[in-house]
Amino acid sequence: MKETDLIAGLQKGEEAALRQLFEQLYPRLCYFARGILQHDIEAEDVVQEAFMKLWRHRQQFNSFAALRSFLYISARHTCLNILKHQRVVHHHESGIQAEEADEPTVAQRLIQAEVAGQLREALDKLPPGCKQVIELGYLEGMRNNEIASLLHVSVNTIKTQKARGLYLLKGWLRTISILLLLLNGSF
Amino acid sequence: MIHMDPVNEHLEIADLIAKHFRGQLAAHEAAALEAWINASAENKRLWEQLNDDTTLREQILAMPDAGSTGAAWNRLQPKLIAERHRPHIGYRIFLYAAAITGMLLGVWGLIYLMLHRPDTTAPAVIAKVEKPAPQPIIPGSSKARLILGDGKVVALKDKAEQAFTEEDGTRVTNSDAVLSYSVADATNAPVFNTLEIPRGGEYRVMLPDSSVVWLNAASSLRFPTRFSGDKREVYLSGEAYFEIAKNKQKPFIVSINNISVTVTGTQFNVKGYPDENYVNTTLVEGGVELRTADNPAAKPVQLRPGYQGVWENKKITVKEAYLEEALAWKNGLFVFRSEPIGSIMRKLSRWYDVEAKYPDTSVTAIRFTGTIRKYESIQKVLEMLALTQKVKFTIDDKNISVLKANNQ
Repeated sequence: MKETDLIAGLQKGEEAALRQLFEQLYPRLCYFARGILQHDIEAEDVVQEAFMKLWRHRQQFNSFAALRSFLYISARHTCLNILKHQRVVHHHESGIQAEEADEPTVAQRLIQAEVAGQLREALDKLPPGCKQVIELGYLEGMRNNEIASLLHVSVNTIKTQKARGLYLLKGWLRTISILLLLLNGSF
Repeated sequence: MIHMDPVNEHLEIADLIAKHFRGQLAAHEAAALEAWINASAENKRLWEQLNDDTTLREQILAMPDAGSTGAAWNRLQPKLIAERHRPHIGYRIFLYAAAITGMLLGVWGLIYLMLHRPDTTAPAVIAKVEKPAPQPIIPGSSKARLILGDGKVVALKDKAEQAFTEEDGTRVTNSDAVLSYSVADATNAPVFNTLEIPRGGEYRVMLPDSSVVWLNAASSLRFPTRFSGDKREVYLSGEAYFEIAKNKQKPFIVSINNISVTVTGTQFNVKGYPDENYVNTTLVEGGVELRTADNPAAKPVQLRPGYQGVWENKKITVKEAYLEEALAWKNGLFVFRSEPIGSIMRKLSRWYDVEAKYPDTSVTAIRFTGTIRKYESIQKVLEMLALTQKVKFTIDDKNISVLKANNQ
């Protein structure tokens, strides 16, 4: 859905429009809220609540930028309220891994969340085979031959997919020096 | 007005930085970015941090991909419907469950750890598919059937909107894989409905008190079309996750086997399949009381959040819960924690509607630990188990034989 269709759909109360926004923005908002609260479940609750508010006020948003701001402002507001009123946070040790961060400010965390979220989105838009190879190679730091044996394809296929991925991602991966790591598998 | 909050400025900067990484920064934008970087030592530090490859990679890894938001959406979506049905009732904050939505999964559910280290010198053994299955095995999806008060059976359709009126006047609607009950027009005595989920299915229902129940494959829930007495009582077989609407005056009771779970408003998971010899109640929020008909005089067992009550051999014991594991099914995952292959295969059988065979029974002692997405094909899941070089599989139609790997 294009941005204008997305906004029109949201205003009409179409769930598909909200879902698309949710898929795009939920991960980064969770990352943002987790950074403030240091608690996964609470962070998710906060973001779910922000999306409920967005849904309730859906008529008011005329642009993607406006609703994205609204979601961040709403999440920040709830997070700070929780911190204010929180005396003891009950951490269940099992299953929940609170992130160990040295308390970056809200602004820093927001910028980190958006940048990483947008790059993740760029990765997600790659064709599936190509995406998988770039993920394993770049994010997981695996060598070409390791990826090849994991996916049961030839090393040449991996090389082709990587080249395709790099082309499709245009500037990004070329900008960062870690690219060298990508090339470690006798590219 | 957008420009009133500093969030807007920070979002603009974030857009510029993301553009920079993607090589799409225009000259005037580069100047704006540079001005921001030089505006403070903090900005500069953040900029340097973002340009550190390892940090950036970790941040991207911590960001789940769009495909993994399904479970989170499944929690939001019934509330959207509730909002539509009751637009003016104040919004009740649900404190939900969801231990981990694959966020820690990073990329693709690789199976990590085994009790024993695989022999690295042995060649990789992969799952062997001896002949193509004539009937394709597909992962489960939203499907269910509803047995109405008069015994009529309705197949619930995932996409279509369906609506019926029960004998007592209750309106039942089915929309986007959620069944919901509206009591507004109910007049006569309530009747019982049963929601049955086949193997390879899952479904959600919003009960007349606005409690939401997620049902796993091969499970069923019997409940009245409205809760008219002094308690809210439902009957479960199989596995379900409950988000119970608060009502101190009317406790909510789940009966399964010889055990009953009593709550006033909370979230918990109950698992008790006929082919397993236990009932596990895992508490996420709030409090629950467990009673067993095996020992009606005994004091009820109280659970605290994060704990699990296990009914086995007519006794209830309490232990610390692994929420990630207990709620995995609801979050679109299989999570195994030192789980015997037999138990793993029972889970797979319910979800993919297949049968497991064990030609060599010694294989059943092998345990696995790991996480796999449950919407993957069964071939992929079996392949991941086989990667551990402990077991291999052959698939014949809907029968899966579990064999010891050759190098064992």
